[in-house]
Amino acid sequence: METEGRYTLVGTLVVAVVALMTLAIVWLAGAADRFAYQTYSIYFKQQSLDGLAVGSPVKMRGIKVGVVDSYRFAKGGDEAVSVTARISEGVPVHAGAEAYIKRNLVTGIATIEINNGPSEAALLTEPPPGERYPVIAEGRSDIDKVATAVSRLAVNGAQVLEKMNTLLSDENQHAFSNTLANLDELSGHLAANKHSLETVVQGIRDASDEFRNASASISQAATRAEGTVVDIGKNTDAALKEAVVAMNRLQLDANLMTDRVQQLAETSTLELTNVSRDVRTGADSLTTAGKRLSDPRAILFGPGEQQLGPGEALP
Amino acid sequence: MKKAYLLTTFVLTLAGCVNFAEQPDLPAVVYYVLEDPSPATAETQVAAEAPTLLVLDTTTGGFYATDQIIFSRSPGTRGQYQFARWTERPGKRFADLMRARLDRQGLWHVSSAGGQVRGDMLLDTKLVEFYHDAASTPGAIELELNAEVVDLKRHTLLGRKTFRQRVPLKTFDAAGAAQASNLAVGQVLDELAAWLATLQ
Repeated sequence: METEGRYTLVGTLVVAVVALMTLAIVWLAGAADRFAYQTYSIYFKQQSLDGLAVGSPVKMRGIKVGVVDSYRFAKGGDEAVSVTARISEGVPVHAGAEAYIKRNLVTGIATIEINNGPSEAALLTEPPPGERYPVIAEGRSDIDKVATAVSRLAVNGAQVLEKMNTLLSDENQHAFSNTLANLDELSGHLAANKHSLETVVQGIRDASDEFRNASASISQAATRAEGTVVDIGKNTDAALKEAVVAMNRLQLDANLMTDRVQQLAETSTLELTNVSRDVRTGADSLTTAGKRLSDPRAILFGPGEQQLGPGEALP
Repeated sequence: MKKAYLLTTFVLTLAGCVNFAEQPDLPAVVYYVLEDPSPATAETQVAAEAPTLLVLDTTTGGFYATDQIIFSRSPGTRGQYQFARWTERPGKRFADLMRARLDRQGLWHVSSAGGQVRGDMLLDTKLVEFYHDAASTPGAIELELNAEVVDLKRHTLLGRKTFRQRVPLKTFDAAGAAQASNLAVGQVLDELAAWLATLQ
């Protein structure tokens, strides 16, 4: 019975040792980081980590979702502090998430608050090149934003005060004094010339009345002129129509005259041709008569034998 | 002075007794009418849209501008019958015969040129030769006519042609010459009318 009890104890120890060795191997291989939580790196450059310690909570929307695992100064010259944070595996951290330091004003204990990225963005799971874990960007806390705004307000206030100081300088005060003196002198002159000003105003008023009357007269004249222009337009339209009719008649007459002149030219040409031919025929007849008269013997005693035609004979 | 007056009166009295006009021993002059021997047909109706043809009087050379009938006994010479004449100068008569022939053709509205009528075409003719060639017996009538047609609308020459006819005489005298002349005129008018029809 005792032998079996030892075997049980030995087996239990062996199983325990094997389990511990397995856990040790897993721990040594770093695989433990992948169990139950996700590790992220955060580089803080602008914010102080006062009050932050290993084990400080990492919160998202006020709920603790992880702890600070470690922190150290990062490599490089910008004095950034690299904080390694472990966040529960079930908490989705999206790309675009930002982390900032949130500090209790009374106790001074700091936590890391994560402002998650947009829900439609991909989960932040892949480490960037050269990094062991995914990197959450550094954000700015509300207090920092308020402090920044107050600081800018202070700076702007100082600039305003400086400009006010410049505005109220002795030189400007002297200029203001001169201006006031000039205004006083101007008002004095205005008071002294009140009657003249009234006269001028009255003149302007009279001129305005005359201008109004003139405008009315011009309006009436324009109305009359419009009527006259309309009448002239009507008369002109009628005259143009008559002119068009007259032009058409004139064109017809011109065409008729052209046709008749052309006809006259043609007939005159032929008539002249006939006349010239008649004149030439008359001249030929005269020539023939002259030839007869040039032979008086034939006229007095008849033609000679040589002048007779075929078949003709003298008795 | 008184003697001179008496002498003048005596001469004029003697002159009134002398008859220079009539020579009873000479043959009487015979006048022949130049005619177109083609048969006269019924009057042809001319279409309203037919062109108007103006026909100028036919011109002749100076020697032919007479009513005397011309003959030639040898080439290059011309003579005149002494006792035979045309009733009209051949140029004027030929133009009348030509208008009458073209009227009968019915293809034109024919009118003499120079009137109030506006023509589409103008026919101008010249009688170049018209004589009795008497170099041989009985000889022949020589007729040569130049014709020219002008488009009066476009003032362009439509055509020009010369017509020649030689018609033998039957008798070697003026009567034979007149008869052959009529035949020659008829044949030339035939050719002229046919040619004008191609220019319409």
